[in-house]
Amino acid sequence: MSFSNTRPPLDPDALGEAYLPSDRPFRVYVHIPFCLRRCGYCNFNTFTSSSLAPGLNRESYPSLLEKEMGAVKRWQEEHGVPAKAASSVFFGGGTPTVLRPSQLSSILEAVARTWGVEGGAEVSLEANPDTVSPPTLSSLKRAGFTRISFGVQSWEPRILKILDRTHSPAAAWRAVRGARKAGLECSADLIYAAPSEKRREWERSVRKTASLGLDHVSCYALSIYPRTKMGRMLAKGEIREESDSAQAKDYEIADSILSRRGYAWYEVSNWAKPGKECLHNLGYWRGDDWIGLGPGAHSHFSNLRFWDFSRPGRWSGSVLSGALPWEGEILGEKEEAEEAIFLGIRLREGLSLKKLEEAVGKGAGASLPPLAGLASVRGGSIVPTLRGRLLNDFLARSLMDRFLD
Amino acid sequence: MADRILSITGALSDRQMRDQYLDSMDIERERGITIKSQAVTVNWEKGAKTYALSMIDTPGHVDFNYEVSRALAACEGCVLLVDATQGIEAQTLSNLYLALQNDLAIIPVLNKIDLPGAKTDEVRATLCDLLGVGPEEVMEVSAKTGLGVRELLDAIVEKVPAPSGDPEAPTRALIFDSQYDAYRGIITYIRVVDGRIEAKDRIIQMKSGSSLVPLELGIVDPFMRPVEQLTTGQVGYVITGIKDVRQAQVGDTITCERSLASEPLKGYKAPESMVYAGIFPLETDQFPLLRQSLDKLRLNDASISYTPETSSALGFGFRCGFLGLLHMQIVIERLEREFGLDLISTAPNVHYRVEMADGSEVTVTNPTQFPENKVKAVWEPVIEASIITPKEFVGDVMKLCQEHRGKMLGMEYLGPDRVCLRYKMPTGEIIFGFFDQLKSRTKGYATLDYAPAGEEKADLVRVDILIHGELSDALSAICHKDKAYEYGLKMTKKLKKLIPRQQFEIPIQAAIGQRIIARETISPLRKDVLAKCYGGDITRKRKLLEKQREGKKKMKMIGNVAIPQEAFISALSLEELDDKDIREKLKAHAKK
Repeated sequence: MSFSNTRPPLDPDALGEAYLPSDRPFRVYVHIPFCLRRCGYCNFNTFTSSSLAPGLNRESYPSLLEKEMGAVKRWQEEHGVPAKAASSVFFGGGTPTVLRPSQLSSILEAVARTWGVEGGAEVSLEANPDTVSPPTLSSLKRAGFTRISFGVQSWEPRILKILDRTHSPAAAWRAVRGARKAGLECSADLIYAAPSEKRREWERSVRKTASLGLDHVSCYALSIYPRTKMGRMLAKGEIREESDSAQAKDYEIADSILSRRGYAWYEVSNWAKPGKECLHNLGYWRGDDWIGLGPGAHSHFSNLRFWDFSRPGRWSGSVLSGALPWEGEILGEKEEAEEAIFLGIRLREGLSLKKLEEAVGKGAGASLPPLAGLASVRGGSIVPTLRGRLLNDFLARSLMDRFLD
Repeated sequence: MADRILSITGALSDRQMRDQYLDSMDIERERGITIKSQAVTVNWEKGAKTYALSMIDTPGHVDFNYEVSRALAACEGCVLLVDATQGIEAQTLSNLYLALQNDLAIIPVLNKIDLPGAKTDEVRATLCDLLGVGPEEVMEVSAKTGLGVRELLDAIVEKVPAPSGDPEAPTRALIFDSQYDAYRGIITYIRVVDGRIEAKDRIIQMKSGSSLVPLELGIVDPFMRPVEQLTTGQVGYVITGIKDVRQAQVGDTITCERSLASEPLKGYKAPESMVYAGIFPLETDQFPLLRQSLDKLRLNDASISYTPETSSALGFGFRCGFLGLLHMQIVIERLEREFGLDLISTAPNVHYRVEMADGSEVTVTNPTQFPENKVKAVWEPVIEASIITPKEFVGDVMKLCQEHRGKMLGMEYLGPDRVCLRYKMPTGEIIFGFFDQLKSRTKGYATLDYAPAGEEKADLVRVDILIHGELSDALSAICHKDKAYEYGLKMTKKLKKLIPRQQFEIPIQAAIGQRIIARETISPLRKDVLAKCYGGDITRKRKLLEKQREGKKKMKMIGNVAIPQEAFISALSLEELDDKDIREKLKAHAKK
């Protein structure tokens, strides 16, 4: 077996040396690795205890992040990686709202001091419906956040219980109303294909979400990972995974309801009212640059990808010593071409033939593999159909098989 | 037993001794069986004289009869070893008949007499009956404890005649075995029948015509020991340094320039293949290596035959002929172990003779050659089987033989509770799983031996397997008309389980000509997408896609269906699929 990527990770200096200048928007992702409790399906890098390692706890975390920002900035200067103002900032987790609004605000201020934030930039955070109150939401708005994304997951009490979520539908409803009152753009995440979920339960959840007048909706299929509570239940036969055709059906239901209510898909798992797409999210698929801060956060600069150490102790030890807490890889031409294909093909704006030809060579547009029913070429881009969204990885592999090695 | 003789004669010291010394192949030691005959010379003193005894340890399984017959042709006498706890086995009889045909001195010996389960008196009586000898002529030994082995060696000196060749006649030596050694080239094992060979002699292989001076001449005792000459009656080896494997044909006669013979020795009858299967390398670039490996292995195992073949599903390979199923398994295992190949084999089949309506004839060794139309008659090979079983299992054995289209030829008692049943059966019925079924229905007691017995007309059809409408040639099988449905049903079900779902629906059909006899459907994969990349982990997604693409490259394409190698390997394995649905469908089919 020979996979092209078995090289050991590189240190920040080696990465900096290899940086190839490229003009792309710059974004900032801030990871908040705290939760009040862990949900049954969660395999994210998050922790429920308030103190994660010596010197790393909820109180000290903002200052550690600021220290990391400083180290990154120095690295940029040393290696000629341009430091631009952020076009968007995204606080994800974990549960960012486990921290006080004043703490979140100070982190955001540190980002602004370090890189600057463009005027009118999108500044999002993720939140659990039961960790926000109207005063919190107003404080966040005042601190400069423009957008909030709630982990609603379902409006059905039975399903919330199966998903091991603590909030009630009523709490989610109050959170959404509060956010809108505070003047925040508002998004909801939903999870489909929960074990034993009935089709009409899923339909009700989507309808309810669509009826609230939210700006943005994300729908994710439940993935059950082995080393989670649900993974262990699956192994013991206590729950059953929904089949791929049941998942596909759920996806089609969501797409049909949401599009009738004025939402259009713009990425495989994301729908938005016109102009309300999450630009930060789009940046991941468009190949923008971004710095990820906090344990386990990923970053991308032109031909470099790197990732912060996941283990909190290793991460904080490195930050406290003034070092950069990450390692990464250099993308060669082949990797860049692969990424251009599988990232671009997830978007409604599609994989532009121009970009494809830049990646794999001239004439690619004229020798596409058969796309039968999976994608069509529109306005100079390859755009997936509904079926092509559901079989997106297959579509990406077919394109890669055609153009790469 | 061979181990014990090696240690008692001092050929091996205790330190050098290990179990199954002569079974030098890993496979033999792991399976506890002998596959290859091994020749070794030991010294034994009797009276004031020292005798050189050359012994060949032979395999017991029916598949390796050919090895036994070759070994017996190079000998003056044989020790007929019977396990006193098991009694006479089917292969005891067939090996006995071979020894009689070769006019050998036969020394009947009961082994394992020290074990509590030994039925020494009963087995001795049966042996006396069979051989027409008195009870005092049957020796009793325990190879484990060494009891009686010295007496046996003395008896060998007494009863086995000295080699009958003429030391003064022109040199003639029989090549009875050869093997390929990566460092030394071909090692040829010979028995000098007349005259002698000296180390400096130029030797000539009479059939191939090649002429060479040996690099080394020697005996095996059991270490390879160079000697200055091999004289009449001696068994030894010659190394000539040649690496071209076609130069060393087993059965050829070696003579030498100094004392040239005009007539070669009788040699051997080429063995007949009983079972055929396609063998293909998993990696297509290993095809040349497979060819070289087969050439080399054939030196050591003259009973393999092979011709190149192409399969749409499996690529380039060889259609190989074997002596039986065990032989086939051993050959494949040896190719993989000794030559570092990764192989896939088709289901084994026998060969058929097809008479066409226009009077022409087709020999079929591969199901794809089986004509679909204008067939007048099909002839299949048959064997005569001897099955020896304790009498309480006679009913079960008879039922099993009937299920496999057997016709009873006779039945006789060997002693009070052992029965020998003789059947005529299609070879194709006995080569797959029959032996295992026989063992399981008789609690392991029955033994089986068989010999080819011509051919008979039969009602046979070819069952094809179509995947998404495309014929998968490697899965076609020739079956008796009554078993075609069962094959089709089981194979389509197996494949449904083994072929991963793809983006479209895949019908899997079994067909006889244009007629579909069984069908399964693999439903299309509807969702194949990762919902998100957590925390922007694009690297992980890229690696996952790369891995999936690597995996697909290794798959075989039947039309546009990608099938993993493992699916073919499992589909072609002889493992039987058995579930409730299959049993019910077969029952319903039988009623029709």
